[in-house]
Amino acid sequence: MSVATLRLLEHVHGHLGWLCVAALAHPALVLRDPARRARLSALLSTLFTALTFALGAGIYGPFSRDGARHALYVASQRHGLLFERKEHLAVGVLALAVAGCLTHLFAYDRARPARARFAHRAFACSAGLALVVATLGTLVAAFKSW
Amino acid sequence: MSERKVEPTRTRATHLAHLALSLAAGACVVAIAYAFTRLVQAWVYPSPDPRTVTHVAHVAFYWRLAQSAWVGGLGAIGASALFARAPERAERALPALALATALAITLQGVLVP
Repeated sequence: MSVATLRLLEHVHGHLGWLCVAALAHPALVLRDPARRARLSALLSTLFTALTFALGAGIYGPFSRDGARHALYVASQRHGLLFERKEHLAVGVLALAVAGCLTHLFAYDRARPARARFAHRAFACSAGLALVVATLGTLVAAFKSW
Repeated sequence: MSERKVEPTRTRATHLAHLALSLAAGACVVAIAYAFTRLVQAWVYPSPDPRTVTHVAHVAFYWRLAQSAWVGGLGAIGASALFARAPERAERALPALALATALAITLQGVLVP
C-alpha cells in the first residue's frame, strides 16, 4: 500500500473516530432510562465503531512494520506513548459497545433492570473512552503522520 | 402410574437472551484479557525501545488481540455456565462488569502504554 493511500486511510479513520464518539453518545444518553428502547441507535453505533476499529487495526500493521512507528517515537517519545494508549483504549471502546449492543438488542427485559443498567453503563463507558481515543488520535496525527 | 417430571419451559427468546448475555460478558472479558496480556508482556517480556526498532515482523497489537479474543471466547462459555446455574446473581454482577472492564483497560492504558 502506498504512503498516500495510508495517509488517506489514516485521515478517514480519524474522522470516523470522532463520528463514533457522537454515535456512541446517543445510546449512552437515551438508555439512561431503563424503559427506553434504542435498537437502531445501539446497532448502528456498534457497527460504526467496529468499522472504525477495523480500519484502524488495518493500518496499524503497516504503521508498525514500515518504520512509521519508529519515526514517531524518534520525533517524540511522548506522542509515541500517547498513540499506544489510544490503541489500548480502542479495544475497550469496541468491547463495551459490543457488550451493550448485544444486551440491548437480544436480552432486553423490562422486568430485569440489571440488564438495562448494564447496557447503559457499557455504552456510557464506551462513549467516554471513545472521546479519549479520538482526542489522543487527533493530538498524535496533528504532530506527525506518514 | 409414574408422574413425568416437567422441565421449566425455556422459550426461544430466553435462549437468545442467555446467549446474548454470555457473549456480552465474553466481550468484556476480551478487554480485560487484553489489559492483562499487555501487563504480562510489559513485565515478563519487555519490548525493546521503539526508537531502536525500524522494522518488525510481528505486530504485538495483533497478537494481543488474537489472544484476548480467545480468552474472551472462554469467558463467554464460563459466563454461559454461570447464567445457567445462578441467573439472578450473574445478572446482578453485569453492571459492575462494565465498570470493571472500563477501569481495567484505562488503568492499563495509562500505566503500561
